[in-house]
Amino acid sequence: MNFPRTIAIIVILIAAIIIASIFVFRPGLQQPEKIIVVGTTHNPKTLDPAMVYDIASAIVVQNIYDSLVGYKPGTAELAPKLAEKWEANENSTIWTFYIRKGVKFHDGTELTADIVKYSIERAQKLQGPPSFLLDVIDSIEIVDKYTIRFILKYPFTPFPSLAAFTIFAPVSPTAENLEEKPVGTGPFRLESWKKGEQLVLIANKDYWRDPPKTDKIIIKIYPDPITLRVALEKGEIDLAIGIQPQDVEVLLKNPNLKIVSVEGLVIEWLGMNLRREPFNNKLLRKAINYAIDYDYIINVLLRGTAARLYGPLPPAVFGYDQEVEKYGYRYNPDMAKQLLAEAGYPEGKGLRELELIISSSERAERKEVATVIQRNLKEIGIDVKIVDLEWPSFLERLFNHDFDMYMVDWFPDYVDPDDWIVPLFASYGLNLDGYNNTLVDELALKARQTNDPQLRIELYKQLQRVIVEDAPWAFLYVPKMYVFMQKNVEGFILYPAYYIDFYPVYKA
Amino acid sequence: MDRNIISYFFLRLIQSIFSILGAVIIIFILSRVLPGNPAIAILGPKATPENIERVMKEWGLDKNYLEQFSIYISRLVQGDLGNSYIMGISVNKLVIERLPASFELVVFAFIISLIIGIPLGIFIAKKHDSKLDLIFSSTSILGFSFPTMLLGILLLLFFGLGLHLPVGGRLDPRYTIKVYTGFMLIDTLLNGNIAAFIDAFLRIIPPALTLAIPLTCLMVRFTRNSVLEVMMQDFVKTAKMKRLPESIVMYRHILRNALVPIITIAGLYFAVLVTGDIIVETIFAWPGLGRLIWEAVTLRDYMVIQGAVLVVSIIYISVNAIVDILYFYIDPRIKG
Repeated sequence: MNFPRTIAIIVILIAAIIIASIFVFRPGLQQPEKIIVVGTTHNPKTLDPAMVYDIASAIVVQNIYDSLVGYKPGTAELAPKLAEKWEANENSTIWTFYIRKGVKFHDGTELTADIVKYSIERAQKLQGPPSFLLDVIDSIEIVDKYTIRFILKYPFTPFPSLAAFTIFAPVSPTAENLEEKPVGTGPFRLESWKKGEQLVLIANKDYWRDPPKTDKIIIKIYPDPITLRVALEKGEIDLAIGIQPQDVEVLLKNPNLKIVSVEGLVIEWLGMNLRREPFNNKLLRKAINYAIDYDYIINVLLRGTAARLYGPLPPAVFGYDQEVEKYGYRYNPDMAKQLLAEAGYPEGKGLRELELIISSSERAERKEVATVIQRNLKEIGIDVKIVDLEWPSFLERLFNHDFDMYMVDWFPDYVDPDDWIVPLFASYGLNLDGYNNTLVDELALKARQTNDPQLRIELYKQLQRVIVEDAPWAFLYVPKMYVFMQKNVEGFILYPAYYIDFYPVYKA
Repeated sequence: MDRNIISYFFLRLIQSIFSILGAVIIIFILSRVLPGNPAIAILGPKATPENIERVMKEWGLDKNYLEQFSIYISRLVQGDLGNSYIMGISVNKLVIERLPASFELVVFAFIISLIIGIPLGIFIAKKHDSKLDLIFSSTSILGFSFPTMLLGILLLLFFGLGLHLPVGGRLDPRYTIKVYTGFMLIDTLLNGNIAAFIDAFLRIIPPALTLAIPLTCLMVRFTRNSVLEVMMQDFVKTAKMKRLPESIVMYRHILRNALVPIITIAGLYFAVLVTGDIIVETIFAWPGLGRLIWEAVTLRDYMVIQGAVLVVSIIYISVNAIVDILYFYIDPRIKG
């Protein structure tokens, strides 16, 4: 046995292969098809519309399935999709949807009202995470082959915007194993899915609109945003979803890249536990609102990747009142100190150390923002301790109301002011903060039940004013959504509702 | 094989089965002791008590722990690891998809460490107490204590942006490769796609080096110390006095004895690496078992945590058993 010689040979051989592969073979890729490679930090969990309740999965599902209702390009305004039009009775309890004719599933089955009914009842039966969204439906009636009627349990004006959610996407009745082998009506079919690694989507040539401009979309998952950035800079991927705010500035200077961005619908805020001292004191809550240096957070820390949130609603949603930008809170430490003294805590005397719980694993920049807030509050005399928890642990404490303050974000299920106001501020909503104002409760209910858009605008205007005055939160910011891509990628449109549409995308 | 070895094998097997059983119980309890649950993790801020309750009921998580455990065990003995709650997919399938990726990476890293670490260790042992020894010994400590996170990112940037080589993932997604074994380096060759093989080969180097550099340093140190220790022993002196050629003394007398501690540490380390170094798999977008466990823990997907950790435990216990058995062949003293 000649141990060292064998080893030496192996070492030389491996070294030779490495050197050869670096310098000699430069693998050329043949690309007869039109392919777009998408890199993302989002890892889809399920592709069954009845189960999808996370952005990562929704991004893919929205391209394989169509919902009943869609959005006008680049906006949060509703537009027809599988439903050509819809109408409601006077008190918004009965909704009739007219289904598009001639739409085919990937397996050739034609879409009818029966299948829409079947799909929604299937989701109700499966009781997946998003199934609570269907609770408003009392029963479903088939009017004719292409007309379906939803009878609701109570008047609910935002119903069409709810029908844009993925759970309203019809699924083929002949398909089995929808978790892994989705069959929808969307512009792409699923070719393969290696979990945690990549998905391959193939153009649906029989799509009810023109076929997609790209033959194949490959979605590659990069768990670490640094790797995603490197892949984008090297040109290994055409489109990157999930670049971190701190990388935006540098990438914008790269001549090979461009960015598409839109003001989103997500809001980030600092919540307070109004059930406890000292937060049951409105003056103290206002003092906190004045103490935070919002401009520093948005411009320096987040490098302009967010816009200011002045009240309970983000600017992109129907019913947003621009007046809020005038009467909302701005950074004013003197005012904050004065209010704190009026609240009975001059220079913070008599205040215990307050605990701020966050989960930075869910949004990376949150920890830095929390640190700025901690510093700002210290400046007016309030001591804050930041506790960074892992996401499920954080949520458990949030729902058990075991916190002084928390920071979290909210993404709407349906794009209507109702999905911010009712769950977050009505006492019959989630009631995270223990905020209780009967005026808010009444106005929110009225706004949900009325069909008159003008009256709704008025009601939401009033609601924003009342809520800002009560200051149950410190309103922080609205993160922008942005996607980086190579210069030659065309046609990409970003929707505020986190709808990533690969249908119009192509490479020039 | 003599009776001694057979009874030893048998004893080792029984021991291993008990260890696995213990692991099953501990994993079941630990995953449920974590705060939060899968319904909360997926529903996020919309997890009202009613919403949680209905989803938990659908997933069978409203039953008490004992009931859940007996259902789990009854399926487990049939080799069924259950279904992921959130994905609705069989855990067996998820683990089988991910295991080859981890295995391929670890084996690759391991081979690098062994073929560099052991010869280098022997070389340094021969030159012990020289300046060279001092230099190598101190660099190996440095290499071993260098944080994986930093090393990984440095290698990512060096290979990706410095050398312009492909990094991230196991293969350029534009290649279509038919899966035979799950090992990318083998599958690309079976597909007869040389370009894809080279791409896969280049992609495995940076993550493998991230794992291999600390391991190599460890190997160097262990080999050096172990060889030195044996060199001082009487039977080596005897062999030298018999004027046996130096290479025979080195490889037949010294190395054979020095290998026992080296194999122990290598075996332990191999099992640790298969658990998938979560950091390396994250940085290099490597879809291995470590990532799967991490994803499952953040989602509180109990079935996936249980299944994946169980598989890892089985690997760990088996590798340990194999190492013990290897001693018989290497160490003449155990053979008796």
